[in-house]
Amino acid sequence: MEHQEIKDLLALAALDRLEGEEARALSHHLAAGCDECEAELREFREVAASLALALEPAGSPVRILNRLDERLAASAESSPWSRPIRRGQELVPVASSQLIRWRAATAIATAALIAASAFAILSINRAAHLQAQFERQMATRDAQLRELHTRLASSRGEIITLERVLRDKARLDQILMAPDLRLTRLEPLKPAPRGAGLVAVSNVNHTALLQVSGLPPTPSDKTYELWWITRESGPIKAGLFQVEGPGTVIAQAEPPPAGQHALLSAVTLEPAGGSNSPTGAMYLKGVAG
Amino acid sequence: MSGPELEGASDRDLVAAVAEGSIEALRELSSRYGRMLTALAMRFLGSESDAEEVASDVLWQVWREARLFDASRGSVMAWLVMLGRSRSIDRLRAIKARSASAEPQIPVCPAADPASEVDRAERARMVRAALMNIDAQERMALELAYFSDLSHSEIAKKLGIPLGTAKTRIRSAMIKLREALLKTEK
Repeated sequence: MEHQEIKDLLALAALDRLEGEEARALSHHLAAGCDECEAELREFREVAASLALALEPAGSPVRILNRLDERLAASAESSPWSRPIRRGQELVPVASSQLIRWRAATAIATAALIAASAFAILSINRAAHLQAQFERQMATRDAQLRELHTRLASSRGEIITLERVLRDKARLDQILMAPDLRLTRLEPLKPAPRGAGLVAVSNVNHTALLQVSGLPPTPSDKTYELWWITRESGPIKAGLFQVEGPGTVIAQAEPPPAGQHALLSAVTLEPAGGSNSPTGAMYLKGVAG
Repeated sequence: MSGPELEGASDRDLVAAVAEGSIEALRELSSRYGRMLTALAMRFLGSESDAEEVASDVLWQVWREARLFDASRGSVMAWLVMLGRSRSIDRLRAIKARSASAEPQIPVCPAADPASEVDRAERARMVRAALMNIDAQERMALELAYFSDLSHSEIAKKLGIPLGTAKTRIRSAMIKLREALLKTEK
């Protein structure tokens, strides 16, 4: 094939579209050292490449880099060592300096990875430690809070009791100062041998107060009840009270009805809610003053 | 070679650095040509995902064979495009083998919008302008020859013209494109 015929093939050769005899002829021609055709073929190859440049760029640079990085990571150990170096026409193994540099880079990367892993583990341990510490502190705070609630409830109970005692004392003082004060001392009976009581009555103030001590605590389904035993009507209800523990109990009561003469005063244990007439055991009894 | 040096480096310097084991240089090449290679592969494959895979294939090949690059045979871009085109055709053939019904993509004229990178955008604009000045029949023949896996005979058949006419149109389009580009570069 003549030189001009070969030149006519160069544009098509740059597109890699030569086949059969044409491809072989061009190959032989170039191998024979035709610089002119070699240069022109190179020119046409640049022209062909420019066709790709004319396209609107596509794809994501980040995704492309990620795919490339995956391949680099996957072959980090084998590829750099196995890549040949071109030295003249000869391909030789990669230089030792490059190996050293690559290994150093790999070592640094590995050290960084180990450091990052260690940091991550320390961070996780630290977080777990802080979490446990926080949970312990919360449990302690909860216990302290519960105790404070208990103390508060107890203090409230004490305050209520003290208020009641103060109120009762004030009433007692008021009755004791009354000009028509009458006192009835209650003596213990068999169910409460260590019991004692005092009933103060003032018709002027239209009030009565009972003070008892030494009685057993009131059962849950029972109540203590104070009675006036009058000449005209017999037993008359005077008031209910509870005993919760040792110590003195002061309770408000009703004075004997007007026109009735109390002979005796007594304390019995009755069903919860009280009775209209005494039914239970008598704990205290005294002659009305 | 540091970051700023890489950005200012020529394509040849980058390939030389890749040959010395510089991953940063490879990344810079990816930054410069990754999307162009993807666009090229998309013309063959039609799938962006497949095309990106081809682009990363090409860059991976550059990583492994940078030392084999011979500057006397052409520019780095021409080398990359040659690799990209070859890889695209390989993948297209593999897809065809899997699906006998697959038809080659019929290329269309490149879009007229310029790319964002000023330098490459200007070159791209010049190529597009040059292509638009080529006879439409010749341009179609050229694009079929370049952006498909069709032989000259198949192109002739697809265009409904004799084989000799197909070759003439392709060759004529290449020569006109070369002249137009030479004029714009002067």
